[in-house]
Amino acid sequence: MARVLDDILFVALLVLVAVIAAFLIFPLIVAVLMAFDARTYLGTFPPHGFSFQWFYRFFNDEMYMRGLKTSLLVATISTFASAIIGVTAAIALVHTRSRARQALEAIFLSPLIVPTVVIGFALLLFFSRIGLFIGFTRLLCGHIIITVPYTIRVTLAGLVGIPKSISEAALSLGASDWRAFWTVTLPLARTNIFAGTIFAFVFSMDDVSVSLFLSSVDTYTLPVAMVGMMQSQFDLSIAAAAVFLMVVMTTLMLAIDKIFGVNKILVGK
Amino acid sequence: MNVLELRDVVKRFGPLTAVNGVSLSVQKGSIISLLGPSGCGKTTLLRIIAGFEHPDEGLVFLGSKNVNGKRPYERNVGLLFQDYALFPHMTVGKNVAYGLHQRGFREPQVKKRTDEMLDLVGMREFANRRPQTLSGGQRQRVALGRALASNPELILLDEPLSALDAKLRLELRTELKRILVTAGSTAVIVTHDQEEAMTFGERVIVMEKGQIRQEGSPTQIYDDPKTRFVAEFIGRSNWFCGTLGQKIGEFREFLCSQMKTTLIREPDQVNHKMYDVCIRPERILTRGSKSKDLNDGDEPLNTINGTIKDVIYLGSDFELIIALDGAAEMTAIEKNRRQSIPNRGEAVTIAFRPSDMIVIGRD
Repeated sequence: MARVLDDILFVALLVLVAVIAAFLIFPLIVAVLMAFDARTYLGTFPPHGFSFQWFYRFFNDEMYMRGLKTSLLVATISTFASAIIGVTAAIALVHTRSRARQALEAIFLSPLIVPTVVIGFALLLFFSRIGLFIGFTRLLCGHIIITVPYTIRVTLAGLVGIPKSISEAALSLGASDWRAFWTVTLPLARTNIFAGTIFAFVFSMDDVSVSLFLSSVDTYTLPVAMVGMMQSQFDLSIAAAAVFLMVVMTTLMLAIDKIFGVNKILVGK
Repeated sequence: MNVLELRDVVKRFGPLTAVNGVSLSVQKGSIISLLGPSGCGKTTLLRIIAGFEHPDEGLVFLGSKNVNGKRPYERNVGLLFQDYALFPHMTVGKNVAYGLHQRGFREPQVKKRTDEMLDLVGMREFANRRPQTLSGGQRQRVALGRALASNPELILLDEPLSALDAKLRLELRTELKRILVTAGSTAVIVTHDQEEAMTFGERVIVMEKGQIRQEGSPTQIYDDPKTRFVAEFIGRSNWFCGTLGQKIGEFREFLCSQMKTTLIREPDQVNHKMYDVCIRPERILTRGSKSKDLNDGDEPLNTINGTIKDVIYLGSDFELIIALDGAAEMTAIEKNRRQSIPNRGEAVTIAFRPSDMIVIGRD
């Protein structure tokens, strides 16, 4: 009797997992297929015929391209900045006493918990108060704030995974603290630092809510451009833009997984 | 000449006193063992010598220089870790060369010295391998080569064999000792394993609760422990409690309610009220295993009658649990030489020498 119940529960679990997976994947499949629709208007699913017209329109639209350019620029610079901030903060954290460390870690990682809409709104108020109205700078600051937790987290996982005895061995062999860090600790955490920056880049490219608040008339990111397009002229170029973003992100994530293994980075083993 | 000298070293961690007034010195070319249970302060002491911890009180001298407050890299002390602590992103050769580079050796010298060290520890053919591809024993040998490369004044070994399985531990024990002796190193080894302590150490220092309880050669520590803690920590023992009786010749009578009166060696002090007396299991002979072997001197033997309660076969040894007339119980250990061993329930006579009795006065 207990066995039958177990079997039923197991099958039910499988079905549940399958339904959830389908629910996650199906909208993506619709978007991807529709992006290649040959009709010139937004028709119903499934698409009729095959064409690259929406991609052509995406790559030739001034608004999209401006957004893409800003997105790439913001993502690159903010990733670079948050890598430096994240690595420095992570190093400081591993050398801090445990209680202070927990508090500091919570503060550093708070952007992960606070809703991005709240961060976006708060930053908008703050920047207005201090009189910062340059769109690009505002976007950059916002993106550094939302990406820093990722670089800290992933670098920290890497640093914590290095046994203390390894840097002590370097010290006992005559290396100063700085040399020990440079020749032993940093090379061992390299993989994680690199992975953290890729995560940061992906999240910066992907962000909508913070960017929405901080964009100005002439400086906006690609996702913001997509939102704008959706409100003004709802057509399938949005699907094409989505597919483009998806391909870039997936490639980057697969690259991390292929080279380092996402589990290894997050768990620090 | 003393390579290391500690004077009244105290180290506290919050309310806990990890090291409580330790003084010791290590002469050039000698190897000493710091032995004690976990939490006795031996590892803290090692970390103080290496420079990872700084003492709250007391002085640390390396050679003739006071090194209080000096960073680890300002001392020339090699260190061997329990987990080997090899650099996983470097080859075996690079690992060994690391210290030489950090200490400013020139490239040709580094190359020469690295090869010498790899030969010494028998790892030359693995020079281009990564540490991860080596076995635990091989890794520890590389670590020893790395620690010895820049010719440290002193080498510290922190439980170097405890991560290895039992059989390999025995092999590597003799191997590490051979390498240390060949290199003429002065060494301090920290361990909780008494056999390890005795293999390495010409001198063994037993620690408990942050203090040195006894210091001496392995023989002194084993055969003449000064406190009950030392006697119990090293080897096995059968304990009896009682009072002293008459002095008979060079020996002394021991009166114990649990067994008949025996002769013991004369204690250093006879003014304690009660005495704890112990006998090591392997110093007890049961009749049938030629008790006349014991009579190599003029020493009178203690003999007690009893019955075998249990016989435990351990392969190389027999462990005999004997119920004595008078309620006490003793454990005796005999080497398995395929001699006839009494059966359970059999009446036996056990014999032991008065001079084998360890006598400790109760405070």
